[in-house]
Amino acid sequence: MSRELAELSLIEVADRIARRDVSAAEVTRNAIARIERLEPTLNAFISFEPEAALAKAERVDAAIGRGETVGPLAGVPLAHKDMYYRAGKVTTSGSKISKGFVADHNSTALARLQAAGALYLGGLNMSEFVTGPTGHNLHYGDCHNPWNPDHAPGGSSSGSGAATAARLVYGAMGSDTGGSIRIPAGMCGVVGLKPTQTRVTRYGVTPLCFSFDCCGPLTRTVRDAARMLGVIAGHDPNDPTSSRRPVDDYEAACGREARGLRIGVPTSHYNDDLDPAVAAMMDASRKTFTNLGCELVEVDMPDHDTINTLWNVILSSEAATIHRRWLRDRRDDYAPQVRRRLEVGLFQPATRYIEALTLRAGIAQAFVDEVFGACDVLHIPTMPMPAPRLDDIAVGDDDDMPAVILRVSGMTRPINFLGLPSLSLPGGFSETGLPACFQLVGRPFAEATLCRLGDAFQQATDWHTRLPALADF
Amino acid sequence: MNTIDDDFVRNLAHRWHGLALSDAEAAGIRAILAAHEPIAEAAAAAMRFDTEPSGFVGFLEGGDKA
Repeated sequence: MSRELAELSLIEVADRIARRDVSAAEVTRNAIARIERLEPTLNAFISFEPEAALAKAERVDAAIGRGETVGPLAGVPLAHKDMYYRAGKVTTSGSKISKGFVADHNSTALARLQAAGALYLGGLNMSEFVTGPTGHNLHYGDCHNPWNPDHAPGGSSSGSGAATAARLVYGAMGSDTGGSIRIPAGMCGVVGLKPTQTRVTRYGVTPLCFSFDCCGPLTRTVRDAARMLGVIAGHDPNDPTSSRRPVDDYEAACGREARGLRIGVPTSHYNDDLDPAVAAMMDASRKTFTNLGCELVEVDMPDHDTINTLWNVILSSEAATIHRRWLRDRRDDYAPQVRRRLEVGLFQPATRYIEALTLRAGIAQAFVDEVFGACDVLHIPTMPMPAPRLDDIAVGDDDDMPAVILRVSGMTRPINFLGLPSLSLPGGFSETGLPACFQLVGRPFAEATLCRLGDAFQQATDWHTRLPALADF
Repeated sequence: MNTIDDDFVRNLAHRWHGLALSDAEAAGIRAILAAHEPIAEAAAAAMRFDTEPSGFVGFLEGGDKA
């Protein structure tokens, strides 16, 4: 096994494969060996397909050997949250109910990655039916955090965070309805990019909430996330909600200096009740931005209790609509917490749901006018604390479940309600060696600006290069 | 006005959805709904009669203007 190979970024390994400095087959064999060694500890995979990945790697090597032009992800081993459909293959969505579900079509996002030459190593662990920010899973076992397996990896894209952080794969797709890309990225210390609501197609991806579901990558560097986003973004006729706007060159935005950007520092809500490690990380990262020539600007935050409540009304209503038949016929096949959170939506009046949807535009516009009238990018924590112990947040459907869930996801959910792009990246570590992360939030379709600033931060710091001890081989 | 109690939740679950909830389940759902209701009701006061959910698409598509 080669640690050096595993530690390359997605872009570095893609470039080396394309230059024939290393073969895709060698890279893939290395990834397979690492997965086989760490999977008993991390439980990051629901399905594992090493033979198919290796066969495609050999085809990529042969194509490069013939001098053919290959895609920007040619030969790069990836794996994805087990909710991206592949025709004729099982997609479990982390659930007992969909354990045997065979899709009849491909996810467009996955098809675009495959067309770019990426390899598929397997379906990654996730919270049941995309529900839950902690990384627990009653049916496939809990996924574990590579920085300390007693701690949560975050969810719902738990395996995507753990596998990327442990250098098992070079990147992974997740999905984000209330923080499900950014929270596992934050707990596992990797980059998570939640695009603007309509930037990436959702076709062929297990739904939870039509209004908030977003598809995006988890990677080790911002540049890697930029490359993956560039591949998957853009209108898809199969998803009429996907935007027809041209796709920016996110990778080109990386490397542009951040000087002159105005960074919004909230005066309320996002400063409340922060763990000392997160508060220190926020201060230190703001100093880095200042050193990069950015200007810090204080900004007032709108009422987030209202936003969080309306998010809940919409989420529960749409999720209950999707699950109503199974909630009646297969009630005992859900984990109690998942069932409770879905069932709440059965009791929301239609008028309340439509009110929440209707209020969304005005609240989002007011937020953009107020916040982005004063700054270019908003800088807030991803979570108020580093990854908790799995046992400490195993609340099931206890009375304190809503408060525990809100504590974990209260800083990410509002961004889904507002539909804005957000980039989470590591900015420090706690005394116990767990990552602390922040989000950069922008105007609609400002992903290129987020990549520019996030990349400048990573060029000035080395938090993203740190390797969990258990993955140090 | 907030008349959501455990019996309401249990009855609605049974009559509308054919679900038999335990006391603990009804209480858990009631607690979540009861926490949402006053905030959502207060927010609804700001809704104009001539707006609709598609306004959000217009916001997103025009929302990147500095």
